[in-house]
Amino acid sequence: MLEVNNVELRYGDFIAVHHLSFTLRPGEIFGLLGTNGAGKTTSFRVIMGLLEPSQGEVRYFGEKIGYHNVDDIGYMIEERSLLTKMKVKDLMLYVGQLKSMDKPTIMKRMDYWLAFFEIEDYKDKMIKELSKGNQQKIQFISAIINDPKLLVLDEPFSGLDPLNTDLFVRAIRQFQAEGKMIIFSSHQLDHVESFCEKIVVLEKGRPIIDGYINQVKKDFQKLTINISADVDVDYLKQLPGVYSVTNNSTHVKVKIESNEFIEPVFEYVKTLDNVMRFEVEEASLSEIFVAKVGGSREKV
Amino acid sequence: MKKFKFLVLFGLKKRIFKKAFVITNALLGLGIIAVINIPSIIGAFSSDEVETQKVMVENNTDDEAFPLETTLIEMMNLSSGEMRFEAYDGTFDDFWESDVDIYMVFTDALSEPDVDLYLKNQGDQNLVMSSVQAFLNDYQDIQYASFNVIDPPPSDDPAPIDEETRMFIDGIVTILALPIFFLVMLATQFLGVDIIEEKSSKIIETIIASVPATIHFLAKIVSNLGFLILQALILLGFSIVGMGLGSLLESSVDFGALSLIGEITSRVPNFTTIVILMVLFTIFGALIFLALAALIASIATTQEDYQQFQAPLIFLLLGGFYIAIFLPMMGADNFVHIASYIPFFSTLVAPVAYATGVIGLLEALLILLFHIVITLLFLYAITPVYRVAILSYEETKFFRRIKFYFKKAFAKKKAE
Repeated sequence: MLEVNNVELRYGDFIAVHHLSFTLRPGEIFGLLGTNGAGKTTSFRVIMGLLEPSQGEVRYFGEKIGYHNVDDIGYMIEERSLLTKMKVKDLMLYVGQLKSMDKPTIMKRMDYWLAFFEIEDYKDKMIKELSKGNQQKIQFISAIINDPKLLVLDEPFSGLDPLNTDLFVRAIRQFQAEGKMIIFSSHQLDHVESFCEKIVVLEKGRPIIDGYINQVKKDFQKLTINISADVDVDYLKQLPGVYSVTNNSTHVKVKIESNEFIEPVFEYVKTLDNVMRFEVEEASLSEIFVAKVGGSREKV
Repeated sequence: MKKFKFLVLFGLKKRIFKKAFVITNALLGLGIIAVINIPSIIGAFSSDEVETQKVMVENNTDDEAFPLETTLIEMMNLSSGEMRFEAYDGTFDDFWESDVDIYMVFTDALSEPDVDLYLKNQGDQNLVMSSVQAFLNDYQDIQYASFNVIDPPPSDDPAPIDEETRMFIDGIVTILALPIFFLVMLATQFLGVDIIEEKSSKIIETIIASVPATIHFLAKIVSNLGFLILQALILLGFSIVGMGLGSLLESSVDFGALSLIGEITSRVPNFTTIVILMVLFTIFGALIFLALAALIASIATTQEDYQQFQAPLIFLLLGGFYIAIFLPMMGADNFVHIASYIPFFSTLVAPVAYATGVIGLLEALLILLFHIVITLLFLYAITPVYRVAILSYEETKFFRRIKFYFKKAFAKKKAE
């Protein structure tokens, strides 16, 4: 289990991470989100024990995390981080030995994952000769070569086509099924929604959204009603609690402040002919993200 | 410790198992062997000019009419292959101040003479004695001369260095400073490129997620220092091969010339101590330069950045090199003395200062100790900065960036 308790990281007067707290159990996937420069990478470094927090602590299975735990951790950064003049095999041996692994184990695990990602023929190729997608796979394999108990993935799907994304999703699900803890960051919030039970959204190092995704959505309250019918958009806009009406090609999206304002909309729709669809859905993570991060910036 | 060892060996292997390393060293080896044997090579191709020595023989024996000088010179010329002896026509008051190289005074009976022997070059003694003895055998029955070899007069200066030797020592100073400069430059460049390659490719994130930045920093320094020592050993090996080859050539073909190292060792009596000091200053001196190179590389974010930022390091290295090669020749001993204490400069200047007699052995060792202390303090001061800088990608100007990293590093250290 990973416990992040009220962690703060200061450099003099500058606070890089503000009071970050969450708990991650084996088999859970946690989303650490934020805009570029929000403090995600610094938070990852504190969580992995690479940086000592100024306040609070990170505990890994009950003990304070530090460099003695790094062999249990896999880390994939957002940008390409490979020594491209090396052969795939040599890079794996290099990264594996940095994680205190012996050569036969590295080779065995490398062969397994190269086969999983359908790139077993590239073992003796220079990394610079590979396509971007295949380099991304190599980077992912180098992060998991040590069979980590805690896997930190920063934008793992960046630059991948749908087929390769599916391979990555399967790999991550496999880790989850094996009881590994996964911290995940992505700007593709639909992936976060599909993977993570819990999230923290950072803005300037400060958590502005924190908790289980279901609860976050409930707390956000705002809802979207999708209507397929001949509606009077201007009338809808005047209804109480309605703050946005968008006319799409197939349906109209009506955004309301909370569930108590569903009723007036529903009453209006009942009066219409040819109603094909009336659907109430919670706000997407993307909407919550934009609303909260935008709101936070407006306050500043 | 295991990871430190792995990083050190990985860095070393990365440098050594390269075609470029093998080819460069093969070319260097040929060059060194050739340079060491330059006198022999020149000797092999030079004209048959022979050295001439002036001889004067005074016959005060019972047979004063005998042409002793002519006879002896003929015999000496017969015995000597590469040297020519001829009679000196003039007169002199003091042999040691004169142009005469060999002066013999024969007294008593010529068949069994007493011979006072004055020699400028003690190496001529055997030839002269054997020629006299051969003459006696021809002159009459086998008799023996009684030789009295006259020592040169004592001097007030216990170890005078003549002008020629002084010029020679000042001249070879360049040769002493050059390998230090070459090795330190090579090692710092390799270290800088190594770190900046890891940083600009972002693989540093993966590395620092596996080993502490301090271990990475020290491993890079040790690995490149190891490379420097290995390269120095290879150069030394080539020098030994060159000397061996020179000796072999001299024994098989008489070029009448020593190898360059032979020439140096014959003229500089404390050459071995100088070489030992050079090695010590190269190793410990390289440490401070490597630490500086690592710091600069950690502050840079791209190869271009590093090329620009390494200017201070290059200036320090070149400054030391120029002080070491030019100032001794200009006779600026005081300046050389002061420069041998200045950190960074001392790496190149101190061994040269010792070689040229500006400082003694004890002072050279004290400077080395002082340099080691300064290097340790420097390492202590910059390690926290390296830890902060290696994972940062600031794009501000060099000095602003350094200031920022120092501030951040020491704010963090204070907080810890």
